[in-house]
Amino acid sequence: MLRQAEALLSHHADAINALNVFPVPDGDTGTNMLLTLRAVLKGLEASRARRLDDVAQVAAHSAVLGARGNSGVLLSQFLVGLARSLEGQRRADASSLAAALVEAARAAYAALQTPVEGTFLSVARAAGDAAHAAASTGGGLLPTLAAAIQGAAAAVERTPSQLPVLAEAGVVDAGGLGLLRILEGARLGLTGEELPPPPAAPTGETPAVARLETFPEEGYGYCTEFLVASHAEAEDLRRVLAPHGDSLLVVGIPGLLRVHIHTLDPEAVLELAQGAGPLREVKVQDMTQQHQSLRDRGQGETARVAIVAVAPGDGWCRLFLSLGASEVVAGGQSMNPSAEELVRAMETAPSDSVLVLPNNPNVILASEQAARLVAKSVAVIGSRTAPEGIAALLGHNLEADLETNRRLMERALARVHTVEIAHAVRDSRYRGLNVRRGQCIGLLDGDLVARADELASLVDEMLIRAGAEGADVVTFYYGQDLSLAAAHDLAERTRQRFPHLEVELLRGGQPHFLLIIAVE
Amino acid sequence: MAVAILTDSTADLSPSVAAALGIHIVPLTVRFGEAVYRDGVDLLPDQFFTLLATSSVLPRTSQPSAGEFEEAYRGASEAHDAVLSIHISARLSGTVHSAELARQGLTGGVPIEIVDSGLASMALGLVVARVAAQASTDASLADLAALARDLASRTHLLVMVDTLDYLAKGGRIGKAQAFLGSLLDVKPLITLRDGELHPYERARTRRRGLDRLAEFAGDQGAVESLAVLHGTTPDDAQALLDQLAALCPREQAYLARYGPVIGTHLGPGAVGVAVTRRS
Repeated sequence: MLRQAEALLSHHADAINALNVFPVPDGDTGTNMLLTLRAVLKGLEASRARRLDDVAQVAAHSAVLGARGNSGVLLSQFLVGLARSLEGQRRADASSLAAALVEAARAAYAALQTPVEGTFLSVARAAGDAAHAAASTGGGLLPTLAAAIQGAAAAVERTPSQLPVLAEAGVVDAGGLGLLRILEGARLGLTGEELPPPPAAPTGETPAVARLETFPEEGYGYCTEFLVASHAEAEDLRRVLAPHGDSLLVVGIPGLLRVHIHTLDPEAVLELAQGAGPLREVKVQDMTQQHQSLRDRGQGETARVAIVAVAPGDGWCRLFLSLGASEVVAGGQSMNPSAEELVRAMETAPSDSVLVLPNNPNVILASEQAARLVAKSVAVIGSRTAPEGIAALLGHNLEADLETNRRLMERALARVHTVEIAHAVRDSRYRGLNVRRGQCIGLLDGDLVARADELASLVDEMLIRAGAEGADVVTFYYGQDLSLAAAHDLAERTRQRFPHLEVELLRGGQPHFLLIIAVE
Repeated sequence: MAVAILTDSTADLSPSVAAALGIHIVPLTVRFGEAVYRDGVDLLPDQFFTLLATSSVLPRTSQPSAGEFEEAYRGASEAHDAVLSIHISARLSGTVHSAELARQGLTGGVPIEIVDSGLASMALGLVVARVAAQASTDASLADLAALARDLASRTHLLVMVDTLDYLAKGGRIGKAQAFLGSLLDVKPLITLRDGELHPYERARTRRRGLDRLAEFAGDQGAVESLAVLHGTTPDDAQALLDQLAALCPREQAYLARYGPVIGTHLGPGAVGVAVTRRS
């Protein structure tokens, strides 16, 4: 039954992902639910459970560990409720199925502090109510399930009337639809019918399942920076140095060039550059050693409180480690970490008190779920973006206990505004904004607020919206899809337009978001 | 009983305060290459920071020699019945060690008591100033020494540095090395605990750091005395002091400038706050 549910869901995952109101592959619901369900299947394959209640228990447990994203967590809690209701039963009949669906919906509601209608929750409740009605009028098992599905389908159709953003975007709720597909698949599993063919792929979407995001081997070596008093053309120097490393940047004013390069042979680079003129302010940093010693430092003495951070890119990973996080979990935009990955990080962290920085709204719930699975004191900080995570980490007090730190770090993150800029992956309509696929979109503290055809003007607009005029420092973190040179130009431009601001440029390495900007 | 109060130049007490309270100061030394200066005697803060900015070598500091302490103790003994010698943390400097050696060589003279404050800069300065004020009454050596230790136990220091480079190169960074290697340009806030430097928090901007210093002072509860210290940024320090004006009587609030020895290890641009809590 569950296998068919998974198969059906996988057919529809793309379509569900396409329902995301934000035209950014942000914690794709379809993918998250699918991966959570796959974790269930894996768990079942490994177990010997045969009885209905044992199977339900194993399914719930595997789902809790494998939960990714909010939708994954809700699904896992749904299964927990289901399993709880079916305890002690070898098989199900109409009324026990109905009771189980009702209990499952209740458990899902209980998972959120502020449950919202027009989502997975309302669809779950409708399924439970419809099943209950069918069973109490004497329906059999299959008809009861069919009734549940009908109830769910109607609820899915209703979601746009319950949540204005859905109506405006012209879509139904992704989590609700995902649950519907799961129930439909389950029914097919029961009846033994064939799966219908998968729907036609929606135009130009991301693949159904994101590849497991591990951080690519960063070009380890030496980060080499220097000034060279030379009247050579930047282009010429660039050509000369390019074969010797990557992340090469050569900029400057006549007579003075600034060079930045990641190379395995800094001596050779410096020698070559000297051919162009005398060098000044030479800085060579061993990145490999830095990375390794950053990791080692975390493992050193048992800190009073250890910190686990979720990083959306390799640059972020290094940054969090350098600022004292002892564990970093890879958390890309369309690949939220599972509760289990978070559990492992919390258990490895060198302290019995652990602070978690989820850095994504779709990871907060999974972090809290993971926190309940470890035998340590864990505080999950509500950081919704990577810059909020950084701000919280800076506000971490090395002398204070867990609870005091929770307060200090929440306070610290409240002082930063985050701008995220991406290319829209689909047409969308959100809060009065019409977005065309390919346009640049800007999010402020997680909310879509602007779009433009041109990146530079969007950056200007977003900075103002984020309060740059009254701010002190702005940090640009460029992603995988933006070159260092382009990022550098944007940073320079910002320095010209906002002379009072300190503008820093760092590599974030995140996918999807060209730029993440911290304004504080 | 007339007890002479003695400290070292790392207390960062201004000459006028020291003179007014009759405090004897034994200077440490600062070396720029071959040039050797006595802290606060041959080299004053203005000169020091200029040298720091222009010199091609980094300065190094040394504790006073046992001989210099011996001389100081002999001198103090002439007009006093006892000597109380309060100094910078033994984990930050060998000053206390030199003092002990000198005392051992001076058997048969007036009683000398040496206190390792576990503190530095104006945190030490606040303790010494308060004890010196008490010494003008008829307190005994034992009572004053006890007072010094008690004050030291309730005196706290938080300093925002511009960079940890000077502390790292000077070898006094202690546990604050946990803040090294940051890939982000942040202002480290460090504190003293168990006689050495510990990491406290980090501020993203100088402005936030100054606010945090003010908050730290405010969080100490009832305040007996406090000091704001700076090296090259008097305006920031004054503004901070003004913010803290309500915390204790004006005569107990000091604006201080850290001198060459402390400056060698903090670098320019640092701002700190020292607070002695009421018991």
